Amino acid sequence: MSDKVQDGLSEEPSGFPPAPGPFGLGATFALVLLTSFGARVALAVFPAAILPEATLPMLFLITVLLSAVAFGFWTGLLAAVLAFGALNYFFTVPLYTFHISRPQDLFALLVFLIVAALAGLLAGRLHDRAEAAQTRAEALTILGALSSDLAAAETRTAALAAALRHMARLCGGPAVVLTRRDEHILVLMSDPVDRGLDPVELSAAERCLRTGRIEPAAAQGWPGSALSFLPITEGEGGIALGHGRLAGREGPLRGLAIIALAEQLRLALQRLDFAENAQAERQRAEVEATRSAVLTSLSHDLRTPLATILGAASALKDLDASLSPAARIDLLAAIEEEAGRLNQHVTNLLQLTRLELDAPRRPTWVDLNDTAEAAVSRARRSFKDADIAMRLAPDLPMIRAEGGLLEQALFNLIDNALHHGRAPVSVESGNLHDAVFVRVRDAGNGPSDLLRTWLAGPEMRPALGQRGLGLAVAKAIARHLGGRLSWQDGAFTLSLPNTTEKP
Amino acid sequence: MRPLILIVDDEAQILRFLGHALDAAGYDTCTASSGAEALRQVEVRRPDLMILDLGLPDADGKSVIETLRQSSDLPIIVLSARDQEMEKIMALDLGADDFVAKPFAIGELLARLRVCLRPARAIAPDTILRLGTLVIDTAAHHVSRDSVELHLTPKEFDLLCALAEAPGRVLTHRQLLTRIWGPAHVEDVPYLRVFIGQLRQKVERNPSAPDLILTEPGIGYRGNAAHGRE
Repeated sequence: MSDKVQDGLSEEPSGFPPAPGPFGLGATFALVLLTSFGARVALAVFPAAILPEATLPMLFLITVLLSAVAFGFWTGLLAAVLAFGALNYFFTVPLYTFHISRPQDLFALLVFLIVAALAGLLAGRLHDRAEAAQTRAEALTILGALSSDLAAAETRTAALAAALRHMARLCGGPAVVLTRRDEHILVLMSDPVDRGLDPVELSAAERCLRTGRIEPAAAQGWPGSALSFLPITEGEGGIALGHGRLAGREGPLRGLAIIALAEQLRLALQRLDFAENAQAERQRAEVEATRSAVLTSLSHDLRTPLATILGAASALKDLDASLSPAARIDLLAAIEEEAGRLNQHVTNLLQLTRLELDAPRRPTWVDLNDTAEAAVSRARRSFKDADIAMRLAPDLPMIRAEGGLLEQALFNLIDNALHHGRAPVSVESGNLHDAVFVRVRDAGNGPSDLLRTWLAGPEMRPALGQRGLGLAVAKAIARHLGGRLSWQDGAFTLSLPNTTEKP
Repeated sequence: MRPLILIVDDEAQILRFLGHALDAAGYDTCTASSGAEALRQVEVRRPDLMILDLGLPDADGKSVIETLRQSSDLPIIVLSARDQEMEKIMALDLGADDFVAKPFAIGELLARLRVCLRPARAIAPDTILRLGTLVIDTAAHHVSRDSVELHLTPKEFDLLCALAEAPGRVLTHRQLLTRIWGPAHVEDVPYLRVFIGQLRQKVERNPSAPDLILTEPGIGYRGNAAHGRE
C-alpha cells in the first residue's frame, strides 16, 4: 500500500486497515523465530509429560495474538502465516522441510492457520480501533486547545502562531504559515523556526494560493512537494498553511483534523477582521465627533461677536433717533470690542491651521521676558481694567523661537485666565534645568479633568466641550517651538528648551 | 405701559446690545443668563415675551421651553447661533413661537417681536381673515382676490387658513401636517410641499416668486406678515 493513502487528505479515513510499518514486520518475524527456537529448546529440555507437543500450536497462537495486538491486523495475519510455516518447518515430520508426510498433520496445521488468522484478525481490528480512538481523542484535544487559543488571540499574528503550533502537533512534522505579497510567497512563520521552502514546495504553495485548492504532498519517495498546502484566505495577502506528510496509520484522521483546524483559523481571522473594522469605525466616529465639536465651538466663537456687531450696528442705524447718547456710545464700544474679539478668533484659527500644516520653523533669538511683556500689554489694551501682575525672573537666557507665535500663545493663556479663571491674573517667568518657562496663574479652580487629560495628550484640536481655540493654539505653538504646554504648580506653564545653538 | 421682554442669553455682549436696542424700540427688558434663572424671572417679573438663546450653559434652551409650556403660553422667540435646522424645528415643535438665527439685524428681531406680541384674536373669532389681497371667509369656506372667487379644495383651504390666522409666524411642517392631515401624517413633508405648490398656483400672483406664502427652508412656512390683517 502506498503512502498516498496516508497523506491525510484521503476522504476515507476508516475503511481498509492501514499497512503495517517496517518495525511491526521485523518484530513479528523476530517473535515467530524466537517462539520457534524457544519451543525447540523447551522440547529438548522438558520431557513430553510436562510439555506435550499439542501445546505448540497454542504457543504460536500467543505469538500471533501478541503481534496483532501490538501492530494491528496485517501484522497479525502475517504472524499467522509465519507461525504456520514455522510449525510446519520446525515441528512437523519430516522436520526442517516444508513437506508434510502425515495427513493428520496437514489437517492440524490448516486448522491452526485458520484459527490463528481469525484470532490475529480480531486482535488486529481491536488494536486498530483503539489506535484510531486514541488518535481521535488526541486530535480533539489539540483542536479544543486550538479553539481556546484562537478565541483568546487578539491579533492575526497570535492567531496564526496558535494555528502553527497546533498544526505541528497534529502532523508531527514541519508546519509553515505562508502569505502572498507582490506575487511572492513569504513564509510568515514556521515550525521548526528556520524551515524554509524549496522551489518545488514554493510552486505547490503558489498553486494553492492561486487556485484556493488544497495541494497534497507527493508520496514518500516520489518527486514533488514534501509539504501539503491548505488555503485559508484568498487574494493578495492571502494566507495558506503547509504541513509535513501525515505518517502513521491514523494519517487520514489527522488530515481531517488539520482541515478542521484550517476552518477554525479562517473563522478566527474573519472575526479579527471584523473586530479591526469595528475598531477603525469607532475611531473614525470619534474623530468625526471631535471635528463636529470643534466646528460647533468655532461657529459659536465666530458668530457671537458677529451677532453683537450686526445687532448693535443695525440698532444704531434703525433706532438712531430713539437711542440715548450713552446707549449709542455703549453700542459703538460693543462693536469695537467684538470686532477685536472676532479678529482674535480669526487669527487663532489661521494660526492653528498653519501649525497643523507643519509650517517650517523660522526661529530667531528671543527674550522671553520681552515677549511676555508684549503679550501682557496687548491683553491690557484688549481688556480694560484687566488685573494682570508680572513676576519676571531677571537674566533669563535668550532662546531660539518665533517671537510672534510665542506672544500669541502667551496672549491666549492670559485671555483664557481672564475669561475662564478668576482675577487676579499673574504672569511669571523662570529658568528650570535646561528649560525656560512662562506661567500664567489665576485665582480660579484650574482646568477641568477633561482639559487636563487633553493637555497631557497628543491631540492638537480642542477637547470636547472646550470653548474657543485659544488653548489649542497655545498648545500647538508650544509644540511647534519644541516645548510644551502643561498644567504645573497650579498654573498653565509654557516651557521651551534653553537652546545654546548659535544661529 | 411698555411691554416687558425677558432676554435669556449667556453672552454678556448680546444682553448688552439687546438691552439698548429694545429700550430704544419701546420695550422694557430684564435678563437672565441661565435656564434656571430664566424660569425664576418668568415667575417673578411676569414678562410679556421671552427671547431665549438655545445654547445655555446649564440647561439646553429646549428644556426651558418644555418646562415653561407646561404652565404658560408666554410667547417665546428662540435665538441661536446653532445653524442646525433640527434645533430650531425641535424648539418650535416644543412650543416656541418663532426663531431668529444669529447673527441678525435688529429690524428682523423687532418684526418677530411685534408679530408675537400682537394680541390674540378676540373671543368671538373673526370669520373673515385677510392675507395680502386675499379675503378668506372661514364660515362660508370662500376665498376671493380682488373680489374674484378662487376655487380651493378643502385641504388647500385649511392650509391657507392656518397660515392666515397667524401671519408672520412660522409654522413647522409638523405643525401644519398635524393640523390638516392629522398626527399620523407628521412625516409626509413631500406631500405638504405638493399642496403648498398647488395653493401657490391658485393664490399667488406670481407662483414662482411667492409673496403670500413664504418658505422657511427645512423648517416650514410663514404667511407674509408684511401684509398682515387689516
